[in-house]
Amino acid sequence: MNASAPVEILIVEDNPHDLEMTMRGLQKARLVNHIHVARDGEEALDFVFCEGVHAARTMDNQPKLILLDLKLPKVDGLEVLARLKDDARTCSIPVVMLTSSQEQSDLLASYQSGVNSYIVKPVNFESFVQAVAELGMYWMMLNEPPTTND
Amino acid sequence: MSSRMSENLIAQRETEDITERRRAEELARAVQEQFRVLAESLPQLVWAFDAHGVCDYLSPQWALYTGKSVELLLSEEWGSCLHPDERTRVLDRWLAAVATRSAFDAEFRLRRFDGAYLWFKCRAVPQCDSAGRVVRWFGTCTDIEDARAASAALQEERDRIGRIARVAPAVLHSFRRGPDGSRSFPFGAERVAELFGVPADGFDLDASAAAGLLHPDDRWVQDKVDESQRTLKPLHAEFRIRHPQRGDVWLAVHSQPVAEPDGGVVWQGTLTDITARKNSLQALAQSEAQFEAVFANLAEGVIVVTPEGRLTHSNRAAAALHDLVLPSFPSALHEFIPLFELRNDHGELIPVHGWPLSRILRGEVLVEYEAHLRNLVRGWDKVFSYGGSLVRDDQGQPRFAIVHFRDVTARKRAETEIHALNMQLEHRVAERTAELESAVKELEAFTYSVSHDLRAPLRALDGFSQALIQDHSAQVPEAGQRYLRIIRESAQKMAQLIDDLLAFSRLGRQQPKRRRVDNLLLVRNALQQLAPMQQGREIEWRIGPLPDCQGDPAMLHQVWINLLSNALKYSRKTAAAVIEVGALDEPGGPVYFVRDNGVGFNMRYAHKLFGVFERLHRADEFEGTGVGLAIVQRIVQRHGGSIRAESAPGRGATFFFQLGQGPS
Repeated sequence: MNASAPVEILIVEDNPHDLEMTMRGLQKARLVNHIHVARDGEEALDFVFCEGVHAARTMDNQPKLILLDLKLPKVDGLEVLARLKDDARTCSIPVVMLTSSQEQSDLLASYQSGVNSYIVKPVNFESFVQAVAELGMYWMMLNEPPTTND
Repeated sequence: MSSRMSENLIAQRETEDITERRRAEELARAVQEQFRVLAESLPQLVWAFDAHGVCDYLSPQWALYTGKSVELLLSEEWGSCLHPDERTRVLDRWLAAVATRSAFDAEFRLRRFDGAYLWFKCRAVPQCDSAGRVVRWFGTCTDIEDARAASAALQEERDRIGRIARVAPAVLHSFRRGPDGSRSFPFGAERVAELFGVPADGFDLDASAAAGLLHPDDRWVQDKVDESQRTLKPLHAEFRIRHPQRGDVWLAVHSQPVAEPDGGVVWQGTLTDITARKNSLQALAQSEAQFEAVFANLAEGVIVVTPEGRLTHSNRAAAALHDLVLPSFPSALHEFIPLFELRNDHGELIPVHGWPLSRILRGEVLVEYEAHLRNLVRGWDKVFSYGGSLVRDDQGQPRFAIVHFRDVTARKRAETEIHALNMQLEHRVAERTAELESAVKELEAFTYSVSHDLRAPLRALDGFSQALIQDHSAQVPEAGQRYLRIIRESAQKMAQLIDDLLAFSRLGRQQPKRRRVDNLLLVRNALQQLAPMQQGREIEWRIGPLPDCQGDPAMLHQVWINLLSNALKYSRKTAAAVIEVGALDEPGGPVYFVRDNGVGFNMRYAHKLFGVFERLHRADEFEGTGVGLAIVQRIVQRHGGSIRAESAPGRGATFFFQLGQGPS
């Protein structure tokens, strides 16, 4: 993946097993093209805002969907979400929150920060893959993002 | 004297000796002359009648009175000058007197020259001869007009006094002691008798009954009467009598004695019933005595001080509390001031003008004012609580200050200790609270990480087992694939355990949000949700009336879900499953129940029923995590209610629960 190639999905996930399974699910749904992975919140923000190692990127090349894990090292998912939704340049990117539990407080905080969808990662992997695939399709194809310059 | 009368006298003597006769004639003439002079000198109207009742002499006063000549009067019927109203009565009397030859007495009115009728008293007596025959009647009429008027005036005066005497609050009376020692009430007897409560009959003549009513302790009053009789000085006394109806009655007598010619003494004066006044005085004296006793024995010290600072009252406690050598409180404050010091709670000296008494004298009202008192002579310190106020008269002028005080040293010390203990306790509570708070936070962090982190490895177990089956089934033999399935099932089972445990622990932190709950609706929803468990089964549902209740709808929904799913699960092996849902009406509110005819359980293990992860059936018989009933019990308890179960192996089970009333 080079810096200039258009990115369709940004996955922010620190757990390599979960990441591998998510990738596997997307692959099966044939959504594997142009996926970028960030391993923590800081990296995700650098990617979106074209800072740090991603300084070479341009702001107009934004992902069409972000799958964001809630629990992340350094900067956690809720903060990443808040920063994205606070910024006029990034607030229209659909964000799907992925989380391990149905903790009411997490769910509330996510919706208050303007999350577009919320998926509880079930232990049953099949249903997870199905959920991710469906959501990915929905946001990538049915949901028309605001037009950009490209 | 009339000529006819003299002729009679002469005729009487005719038969006598002439000399004798002449002498007699001279004598008669002299007598006649004497009669005439006498009759004419009298102020009365004089008249004479002959034996036949014919008037033959009228004194000249008749003419003066009637304005008619005697001759004219003699020629007229004598009754004509009588008042017409009395004419018949008087003539009847006269005729009766003539007939019986007895004296004639009558009072009547005679017409004066001016036509006025004045009252006269008439008296006539017959003159009889030696044979007892009436010879003549002589009579006089005396003018009694003035006497009658005076008598009437006197009567009127008497009536007036009588009327006053009857209504005067004091009993006006005359009391007489005769020379023989007799006692009587010539005047006012009726009211005196009433005062003494004895019959009035004869009391005016004999009042000795009154002496018998005198109170035995007040017999001295008789000595005072004796003394008054002796000295003729006024009698003043207050004494009691034994009133026959009213009991002891207080009387006051004020009277003036007057000696009478026969040696008796009459007192004129008043007798007054003063019982009410005496009783109220006595009551006042009693209440004063009571007050004095209370005041003297109060545990609280009390002093009463005039605005000038003079002490008028103080009780024993006042002196004792100050530990004064003196038997009582010093009467002047300047004696007291040098012996003591007063300080506030901060140990600062209170100047004398800030002392409780000074402040009260200036008009302040003190309530529970506490100060530290030091007795400079004895060298002790105490804490006193002071109160008091200034009492003013109707014009608002200060009359006296009341200061009361008590020793609160022990209480104060206890308060200080309590305060210190409270501080310690609060400190400890704060510590514990902080500990608890951090424990709760740790627990929350723990459950949070359990729910997130414990599930990630399970997902990997499940996911990669699945990937292995899907991508490499060719390389994995049938037995190996079975093992992979077991790994997946175990991972999912563990995830279920984690979820149930989290749900259970969340309940511990959650406060039920009470509102009206339609239990029938909750049961219907639960049955809908449990439809998968009912698939392919024949179940007879008996759902009775379920009253509404106050509770948290989401939590109660969980209760019904768990109880109904248990009923479904444990009746699975029963051929004709019957599940009954209903409510019993009991004093503490409805008792809801769910009954099945499933496998039941042994009541010996009933105590384990609601424990977390406690199961009464093996997993290969009935699946489950052992958390469902624990959750039900916790929800019911969070609602202030209780739950119990009845069962026997093979005979089904019934779960009863009742919710507490709680704040609605």
